[in-house]
Amino acid sequence: MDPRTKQAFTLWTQAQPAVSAFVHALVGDRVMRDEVLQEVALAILEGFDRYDASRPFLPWALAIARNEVANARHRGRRFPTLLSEAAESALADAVASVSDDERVRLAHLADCLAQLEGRPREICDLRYRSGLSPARIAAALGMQSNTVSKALQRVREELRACIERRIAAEGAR
Amino acid sequence: MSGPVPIDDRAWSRFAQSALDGELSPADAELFSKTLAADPVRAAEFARLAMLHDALERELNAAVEGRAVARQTRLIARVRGIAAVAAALALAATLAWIGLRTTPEASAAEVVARLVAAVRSGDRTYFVRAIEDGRRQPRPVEKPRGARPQPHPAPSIDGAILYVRAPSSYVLARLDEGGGETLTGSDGTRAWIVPATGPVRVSRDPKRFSGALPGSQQGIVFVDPHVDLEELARSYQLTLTPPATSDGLARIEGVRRSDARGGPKRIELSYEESTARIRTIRLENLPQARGGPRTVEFELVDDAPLRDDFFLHTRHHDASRVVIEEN
Repeated sequence: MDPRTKQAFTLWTQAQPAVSAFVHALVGDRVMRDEVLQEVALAILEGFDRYDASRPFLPWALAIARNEVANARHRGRRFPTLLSEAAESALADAVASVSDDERVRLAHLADCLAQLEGRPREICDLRYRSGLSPARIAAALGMQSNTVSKALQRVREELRACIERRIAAEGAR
Repeated sequence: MSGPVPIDDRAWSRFAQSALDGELSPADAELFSKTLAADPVRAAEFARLAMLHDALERELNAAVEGRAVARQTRLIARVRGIAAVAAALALAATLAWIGLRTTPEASAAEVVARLVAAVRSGDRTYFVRAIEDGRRQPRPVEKPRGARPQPHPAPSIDGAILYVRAPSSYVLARLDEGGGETLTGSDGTRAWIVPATGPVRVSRDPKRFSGALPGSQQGIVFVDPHVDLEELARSYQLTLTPPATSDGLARIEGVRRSDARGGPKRIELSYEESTARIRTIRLENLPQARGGPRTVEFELVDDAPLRDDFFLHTRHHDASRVVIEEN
């Protein structure tokens, strides 16, 4: 592997979680996310000569991701949440600004997830492992869709709180 | 020029969560977009949530152990009461037949026979994914002034749930863009469709309304495993693959022979070697002559028994709905 390709590969590996989250938020579906991410990775490798190494890599990668999401849309893909261009741009900026900090926090996710039990865990599994929408989960569990949405919100908030507790405990040491 | 949009923390949190779950109404999406664009603090909050959302999905799909938990989830057994694994049964039976006819090694036939036996042993519930949406892009037709939007867009196979019971009962539940649910099914003797609105239709032809089942248009038998087996048997070459280290599942791959006509170019089943339980069914390169997705995957999400009457249309609509009996 030549040095330039190696550099591209290293930078992409570091940026991928943030780019993945960004694309996932725009396209709403993990299969589509992976499809777009593949295109992003190819575009980055193919266009790496145009990358200005004096500037941060992640914003550049996010700009490419926005283009690839737009390309997918032009190919007729339908995404559930349509953000305005200004909102997409603001989200890209925000992802770039929080990415480093979040990567550190999310290192605690697996431990926090392991503590999740019972119905919240079941709903979390159905949403993220089986890929079911809240409406589908509601149908499966005989619940109201709104109740499932609120339960998912609580799950995410609990996980976030757990992560914060662990970060705080680490800091206290 | 729009300034910052006033929105309280609670409403913002709900919007942000709904956005990630694809549940924002168009009006809410507009307000969400405006807030995101105008308020960097809100945008940062959403970015953090989006990273958690994505990391959760990756974390839960990373471990084989996780898959085992998912299998145990008694998902749609508690389904409020919709309802047959025709897909799996048909495909497995088809492959069994093909295997017995065309595979020289006894092991292929033995494995497939085990799969068929396992499928016949109970109900199955599958989550359906259209891996590559082959839906034709609609032509940009200018609508007449004042034309009303189509109230009920066609339901999608992507995200659908398929319930199957051997030998030939099934229920396919699909959602449309507006959140309405269309159910099509068969109790083995009569087929039916329960649209989101409008009359329920019932037919004595068990294959009526089965067009929505991926593969049914191309001669891949989902509803009745005994139909067209002879043609299918001539069409695929089977290969067995031992369990992969990544997910512990063994696989059977069927590749359509070059001189065969119709059907997906490639079929793949993954299954647990110890129990012969089929976990995924993948149909690749489905013919596109009639539109629909190019590749479809069925993932087993539950194998708990469904109610006896689950495959009757009456189980899925109010008694007050108009029912039209076709000939």
